[in-house]
Amino acid sequence: MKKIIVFVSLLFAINSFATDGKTLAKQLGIGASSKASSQWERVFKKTKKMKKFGIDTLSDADKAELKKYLISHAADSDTPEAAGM
Amino acid sequence: MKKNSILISIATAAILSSSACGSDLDARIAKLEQMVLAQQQIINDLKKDSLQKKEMTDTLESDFEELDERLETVETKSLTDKIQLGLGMRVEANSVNTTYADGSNPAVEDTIWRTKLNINMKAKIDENLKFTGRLSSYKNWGDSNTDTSAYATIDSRQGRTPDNSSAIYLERAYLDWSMNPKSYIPVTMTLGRQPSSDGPSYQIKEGMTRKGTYDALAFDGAADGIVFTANLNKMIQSTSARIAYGTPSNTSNNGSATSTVEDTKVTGIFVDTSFDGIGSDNLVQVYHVMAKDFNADSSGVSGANDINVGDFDVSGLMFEVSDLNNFDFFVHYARSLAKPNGKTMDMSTMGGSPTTGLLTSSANDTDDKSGHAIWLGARYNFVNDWSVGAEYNKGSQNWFSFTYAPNDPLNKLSTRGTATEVYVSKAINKYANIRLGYVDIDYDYTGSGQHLGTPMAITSALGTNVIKEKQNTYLTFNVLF
Repeated sequence: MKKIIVFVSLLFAINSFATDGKTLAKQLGIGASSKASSQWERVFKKTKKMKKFGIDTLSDADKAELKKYLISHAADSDTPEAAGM
Repeated sequence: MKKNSILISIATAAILSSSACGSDLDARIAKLEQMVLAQQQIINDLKKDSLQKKEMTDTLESDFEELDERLETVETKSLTDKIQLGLGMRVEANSVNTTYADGSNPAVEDTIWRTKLNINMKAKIDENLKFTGRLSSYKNWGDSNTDTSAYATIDSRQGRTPDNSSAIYLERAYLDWSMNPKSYIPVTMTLGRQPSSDGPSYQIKEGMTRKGTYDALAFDGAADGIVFTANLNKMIQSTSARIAYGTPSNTSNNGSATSTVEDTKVTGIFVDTSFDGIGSDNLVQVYHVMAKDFNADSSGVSGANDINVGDFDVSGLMFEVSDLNNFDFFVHYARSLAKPNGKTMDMSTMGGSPTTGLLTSSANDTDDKSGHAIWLGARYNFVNDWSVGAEYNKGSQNWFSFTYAPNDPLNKLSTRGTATEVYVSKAINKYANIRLGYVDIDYDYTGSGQHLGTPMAITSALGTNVIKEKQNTYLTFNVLF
């Protein structure tokens, strides 16, 4: 049990060094479901389009995180289902 | 003479001066002419440019008009496509090995091939009203006989568990009505056949997003009902509370008053919350579910299901995290509490007790029976689309919950004993994956997944009457598009 606690704590500690895609999207005011995944792919291919969303100023690591989040939550992605959601 | 010389000099100078002035003027005139010509050239160029631009503007205007027409065509199509359809499909092969309490094995079953089809439907009817549905068929390969087993009549299993036909069932069909979207606490009412199956954390193994409302350890199956979801975001970030009501076993649908048995009524309270910065998504759910007037539901025993056997509660909490440094993991804990009302029925023709009640085999037994279960799991996603995962669950003697119809042939979460599962999965593209897995179940008590009769410790003395172990090696091909 002790090992599990240490392992989980370590995971949380490592995670705290990176900004996750959801937080970045929230900070930039981007709604992932406003575009389909292929449209988000196009945004990340052109600096001009990235600039429009303020993505161009992010580090490469943050861009990758944000891209992953936006594509996985895009309008045509697998969306969560629950009552009232 | 001197005077004449002076006059001649002056005249000459004047003439020379006059000549110089004329030459300068000519040069200036020539320069001006050049400038005028240059200006004229610029004006001509501008005129030409202007004409070209006008032509371009005319072309663009024409293009815009054409685009507008085309966009309107697309918009019209989009507005008239009232229901958006999606596909879910799973083809699976299961190879199940069974061991009886005395250690013997029955004849090994051949590999069981099955196909599950989900036709998913969505429609945004208006800003405050949307529809979600799922039609499903789940059939064994090469078998089109009508299922006459007792389970075929259980409502929550329709479309959820494999059938001997290719019938299409209504697995989900519900409306979400946002009743007061601008209020401090917006409430959404969800009416119809609910998203009550494949709930958290079932989706982690499947590599999908959340597909149901309720903790899969407590509730997994189709269910009709009404749910009120209060969005508490303005009070507590990412938090919602739900009150659910349903009647999983309704005995008087035709309006006649011939039945003496009460309908089972299920009420539940659920609170969901999540935290920023822990994985890409995470969920905490705390709940309490109460089933009143639980039916015996022993279809197949003549007249025996016409009694209520008592009340039943399930409470629990769960925590799951997705994509935390490529890890997904979850922890669930639940407690069940059966409150038999002392009524029993005779199930001796089915190998049961002549006095079978809610988790009891004694007549007039009204003692509470509590059980509990834990379910843990983790999945690691490699960058090359491979992932590996493991799950573990353990249930106590009296553990029981509403997992009537899971997408799992062994219903491992109902186990009164220990179940472990390992799997490896490979994403073929963003819509499909293949998974190879192995499930091992070691039953400690009889009757896993059943609410009738006293669960007995499994000893070798029980011989071939009960199953001690089950293993399933499976291969699935999943598509969600």
